[in-house]
Amino acid sequence: MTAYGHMPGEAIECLSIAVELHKQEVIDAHGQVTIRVGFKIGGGIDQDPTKAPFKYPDSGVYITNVESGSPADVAGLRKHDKILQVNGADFTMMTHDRAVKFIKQSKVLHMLVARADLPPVSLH
Amino acid sequence: MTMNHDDRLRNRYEACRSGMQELDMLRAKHTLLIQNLRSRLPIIPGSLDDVQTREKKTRDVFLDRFSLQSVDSGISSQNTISSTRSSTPEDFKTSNRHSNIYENSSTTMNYSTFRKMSLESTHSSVSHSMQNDVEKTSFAPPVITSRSCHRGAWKTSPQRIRPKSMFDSTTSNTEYLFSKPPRHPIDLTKERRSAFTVLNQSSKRHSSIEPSLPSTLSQLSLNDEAKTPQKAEVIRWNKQKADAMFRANVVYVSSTEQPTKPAPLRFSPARSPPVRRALPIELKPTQHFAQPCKIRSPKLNTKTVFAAKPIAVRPSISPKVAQRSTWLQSQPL
Repeated sequence: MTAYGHMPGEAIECLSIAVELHKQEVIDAHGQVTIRVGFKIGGGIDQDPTKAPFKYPDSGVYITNVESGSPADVAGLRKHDKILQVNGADFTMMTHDRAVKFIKQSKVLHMLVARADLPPVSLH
Repeated sequence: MTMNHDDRLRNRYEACRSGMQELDMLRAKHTLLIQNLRSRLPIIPGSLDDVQTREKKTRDVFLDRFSLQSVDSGISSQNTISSTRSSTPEDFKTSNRHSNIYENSSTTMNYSTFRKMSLESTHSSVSHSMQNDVEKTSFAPPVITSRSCHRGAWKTSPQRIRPKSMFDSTTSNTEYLFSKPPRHPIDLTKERRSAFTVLNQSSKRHSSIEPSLPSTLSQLSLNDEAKTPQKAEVIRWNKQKADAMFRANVVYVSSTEQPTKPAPLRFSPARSPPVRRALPIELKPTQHFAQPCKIRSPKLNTKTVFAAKPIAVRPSISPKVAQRSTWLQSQPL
């Protein structure tokens, strides 16, 4: 079984990658101090995956873009990775807006991520 | 085995040697201590013979003192004997003898002088023959002391004492003898008086009979006096009873009124439906009628309870998340 194509609310059994991401403080062009992560997310339980620019199989939260040289790139995140858990919160059952707010909330993110390259796990 | 035996012997020999050394040390310490004690004590003057003579003298002095005490005790005993035998005629003879002794002693020296002489003789004695003389002289002073004591006794108690005692005894006996006969007639008179007292008692009885008449009169008067308070008491009792009766009547009236009122209340709900009874009950505004109103109030409450239940029974619809027809992407985070 893989993490892709799951139904919301059902249990998932798959291999995952643990990532620890430390945000970076950056001074904006306007002179303001901002905290930078370096990636974009898309999707959510309230979104329609058929309207996505990529063929995502379910309504989970996915990383749609990773900036080169950013903390996300340094941590090892890649494009099209599916976010399973962030600081203990289940992202497979989270709406889009709520997911964005949750990522902005803390400076350090302990993430579990699923990737298509990983081999599937056979159920018992 | 022989080596072990030799070792044991050597150990024993060494132990004995150490023991002997310890004994020698202890002896040396003992001698030193004794020398120190002797040095602290004062030196006795003279030779040993002088010391022994002093001891003998002190012993002799103690013996003399004991002899003097014995003499005193003897004197007291002799005095008691003389006092007990004063009534017998032989005592007169002995008294004469003592008087003769007194006459002889008047020529000799006093007691104090004799005592001094005896002490000097004891100190001056040196040889054994003198010691025997001292013993002889030692017997003399007690005799002298006893004589002097007896003389003093006779001086203090001359022949006059004896007749006094005789007169006293005779007078006492005569008094008793004379007192006894007159007491007997007194006792007899007392007995006779007792007989008279009996007569008096009989006279008292007669006197008791005589006032019986006035006592009866007094009893009659008392009876008359007693009757009047009895009547008054009867009147009071009658009044109290009347009061009690009136009170009881009042109590009965209230009790009769109470059961009549609740009786129809009890019968009314059982016999007829509550709808019909409600109207007449409301018309009578009394405390007893207020109770059924209270009974009705829980019925109304039960109705309100029934009204509340269907609200709770209504199923609640959970909110549903509406899916959007778009797929959003966030700004760079």
